[in-house]
Amino acid sequence: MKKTLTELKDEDLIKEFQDNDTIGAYELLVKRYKDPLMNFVYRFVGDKDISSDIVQETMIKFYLNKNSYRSFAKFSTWIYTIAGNLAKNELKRRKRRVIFSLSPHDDDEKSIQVADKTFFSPEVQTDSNIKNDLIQQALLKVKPVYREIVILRDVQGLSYEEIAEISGLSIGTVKSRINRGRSQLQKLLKNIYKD
Amino acid sequence: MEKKSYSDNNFENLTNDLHNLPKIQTPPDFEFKLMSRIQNGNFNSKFKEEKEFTFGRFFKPAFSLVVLMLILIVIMNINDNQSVSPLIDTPTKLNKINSGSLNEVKKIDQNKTADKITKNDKSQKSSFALKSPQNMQFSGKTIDIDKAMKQNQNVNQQNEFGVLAGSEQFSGFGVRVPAQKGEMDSMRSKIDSIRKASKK
Repeated sequence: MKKTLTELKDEDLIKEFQDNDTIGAYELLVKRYKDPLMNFVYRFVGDKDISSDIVQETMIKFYLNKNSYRSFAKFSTWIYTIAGNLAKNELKRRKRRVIFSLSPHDDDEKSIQVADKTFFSPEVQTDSNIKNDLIQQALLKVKPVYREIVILRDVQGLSYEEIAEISGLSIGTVKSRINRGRSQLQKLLKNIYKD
Repeated sequence: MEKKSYSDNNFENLTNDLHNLPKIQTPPDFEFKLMSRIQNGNFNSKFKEEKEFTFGRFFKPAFSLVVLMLILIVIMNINDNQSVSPLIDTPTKLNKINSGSLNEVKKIDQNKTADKITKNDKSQKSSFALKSPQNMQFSGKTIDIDKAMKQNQNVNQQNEFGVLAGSEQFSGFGVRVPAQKGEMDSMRSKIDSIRKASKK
């Protein structure tokens, strides 16, 4: 009995899309990955509109370069790699804009204000929404090389092997980067994690 | 479930909070926009790579231009100061001989040898003076036919073998053996006998 598209695994779906140009298979993959990718990109870039554009660009790239996917890799790692590269490019572009911008207002300054403990009393800090905001602001201050890995591991919940495949690093490097990223994050959030 | 390492336990609160961060979702019209872009073939990227503003972008072309200019200057200088290579260029004397001014070359050679002789021996100078080009020229109305004939013969021979600068005659790199008179006679007689036989 033939399986319906919804029952197929990601790898089978992309094969179906590659072999028969089945747009339904493509749409299904978009449905499965749009939100996880959005969450990953948003945590990395910190802007919803830009993140949405990046995810859309990722899906366009997937559509146009479907044949560059090889079946020995996991589809999830392939699509995360595309999204990660686009997000990193966006960060670089922003950095250049900040360097040549005459305006003193930028994202870093905002994040410094939020992270400053004088803005919030300890009672307010316990509020989960504010805590989440603080964590997000702190995440954006972590070096991008560590940030990406920490998000993939602790936010997206991917395995070390998957992260190694996405980032093109060895598992040992991935582990050490996770550790450094977490330490940086904990230092930035020392008001929350006092112990 | 993966085993938590020491570092995982160290950051337990942090990792839990990170994991429990609210999941951000795409806007509701995300798929509609995406599919309409695909259907319209609108694949223009908003994230085109901007060319980096680096000093290299300006210095690389300028540096290559300077290198190119230097190369051109060097090449032009080489062309201007090109020294005469004795291996590549034909000797000036040979050029003159080829252009028919053999007498001039002879004049130069003989003047040189005459100078040497004057230094060494004054008595030889007078005898050489008879052979000097001025004396060999047809002075007045009389012509020394024998001398003129000899001179023409020499010129023909020199044209045949060529003359190298600093030497009298050049007849190739092989050793030139003068023909024996007896051999020549015997060869002639043989040729004559063959001709006679063929006539008969």
